[in-house]
Amino acid sequence: MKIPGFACKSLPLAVALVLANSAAAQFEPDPLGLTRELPAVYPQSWIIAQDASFFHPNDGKFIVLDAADDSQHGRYKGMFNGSFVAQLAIAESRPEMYVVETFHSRGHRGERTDVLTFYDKRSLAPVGEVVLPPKRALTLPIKFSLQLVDEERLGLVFNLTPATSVSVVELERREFLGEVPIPGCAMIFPTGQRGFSSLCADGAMLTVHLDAQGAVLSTERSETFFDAQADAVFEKPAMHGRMAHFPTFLGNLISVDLSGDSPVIASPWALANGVEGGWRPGGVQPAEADSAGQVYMLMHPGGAEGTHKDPGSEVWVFDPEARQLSARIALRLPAISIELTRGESPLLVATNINLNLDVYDAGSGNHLRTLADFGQETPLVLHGAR
Amino acid sequence: MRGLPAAILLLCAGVSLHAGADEQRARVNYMLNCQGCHLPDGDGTADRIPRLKNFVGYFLHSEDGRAFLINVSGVASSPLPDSELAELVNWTLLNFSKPQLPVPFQPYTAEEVAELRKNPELDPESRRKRILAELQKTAPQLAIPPVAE
Ligand code: HEC
Repeated sequence: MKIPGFACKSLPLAVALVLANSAAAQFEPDPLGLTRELPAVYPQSWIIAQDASFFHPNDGKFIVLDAADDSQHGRYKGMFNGSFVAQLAIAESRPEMYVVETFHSRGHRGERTDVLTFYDKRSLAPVGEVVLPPKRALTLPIKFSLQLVDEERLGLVFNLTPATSVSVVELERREFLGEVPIPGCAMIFPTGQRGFSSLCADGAMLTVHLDAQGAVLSTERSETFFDAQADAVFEKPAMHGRMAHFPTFLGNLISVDLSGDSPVIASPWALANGVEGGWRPGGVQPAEADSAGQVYMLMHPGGAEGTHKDPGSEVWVFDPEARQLSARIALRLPAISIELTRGESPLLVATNINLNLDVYDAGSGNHLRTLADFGQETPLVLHGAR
Repeated sequence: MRGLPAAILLLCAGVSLHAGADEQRARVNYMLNCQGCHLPDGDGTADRIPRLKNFVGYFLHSEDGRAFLINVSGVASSPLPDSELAELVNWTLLNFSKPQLPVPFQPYTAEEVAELRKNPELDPESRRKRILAELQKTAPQLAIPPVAE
């Protein structure tokens, strides 16, 4: 033997080879080509993180996650696309999701095409599309740019050219119906049976009711209820059914009941009444409601002119009917967006300043887990899955 | 002799903003409230934002056109008080579209603007087309360029 001790050293290798051989005999290869499907109605603890791909927006993504799952591979359910800061709406009455998105014929340039893409919730495959006038508002993701009305028969898309209008799509026949001008007004807040309201520059609300063909039945302008110069409202209310709770830059809350034909606008009240520190709402998606109607708000101290997009270091929980602050949740890290999962024991999910998702028990405020490494870059907006 | 240049300037201006108007304030108000969309020289953008330059003055040949200019949401819903808004629209007309204005040009007053801005136009595109089509018929001498469909 030229190499002393070889025989000894090779013994473990020999044993390993024998073992491997017997393992191969028992090894059942995974069947290939299997496609798993997601449920048609997503479990209550699921959310969809909208990664707008802020630094290369052609490549936006929606990532389906179970916020209650502690294992990394277990909570990642799938992904679908949304081109050029898309917007998402999720149907409840059929297993579909809608993404309004923009393409250019040469990728970054060329002729622009806007489409409403229909996604199957089970396969996350695109199953249809409706081509729209290339006018949709290209803004950071905001839920009120794409909304469903008329028991999810009509999809409404907010346009900004900068003349403002709303494109109306019939979702069952997958057909573009027409365009409704809303000059000087913005966003879509579903109203009544088949209508919507928009916020106007002069502080009023414009309410439009449509017929089944998407034509305008009536148009109504409310009294002015805010002053965009003195104390602007966020265009991102916390929605609970048809109740829209609008925070204002200075920290008031204005609740608007949109269940009837005309908006019923309540008087404003101060969110931080009696709390020291100059607390104000702020963030990308600063306000959300849970299934019970409690309102959650990202709040930051030392609020001043221009801090309305600042991350919040706390989430405050309000009972909007009693006009009361009911809890304060100190966040592990400041956050820019929040969402609540559905059901009686909701999870509070927050996009923190490292652009990971912190999951809290919304009732106790306890931090439960952090969702990171799910392929995200800029998950700016979170959608409670349905 | 000293007064001569000023007198010449006044003559050249021909039409001026109404008494008490502050041209510098109007210009700055245009920069802050309008030029983001209408662009600094009033050019607008093809088929999306109407051109003010060498055009907007035509509307004053029609009574409804005169009201329309204040009813459009960019004007009616601007945050400016009535007096500054009147001053700004007068400045816009004189600065961008003097050759198209009727003679004599009758500036908007704060009271007129206050009344008109109460009714923001809900369908500006149709009304604009209607007004211009009407003017093309009733005032062919203006030779208003054809309105894009
Ligand atoms: C958000 C973009 C925007 C801003 C800001 C804006 N406008 Fe406009 N403006 C438009 C658009 C778009 C139209 C076409 C009609 C419509 O859709 O309201 C228009 C129409 C007009 C018209 C009618 C002219 C025509 O040919 O139809 C006038 C006059 C006008 N704007 C003046 C102003 C003035 C003065 C300001 C500033 C106080 C202003 N606009 C601010 C976008 C804007």
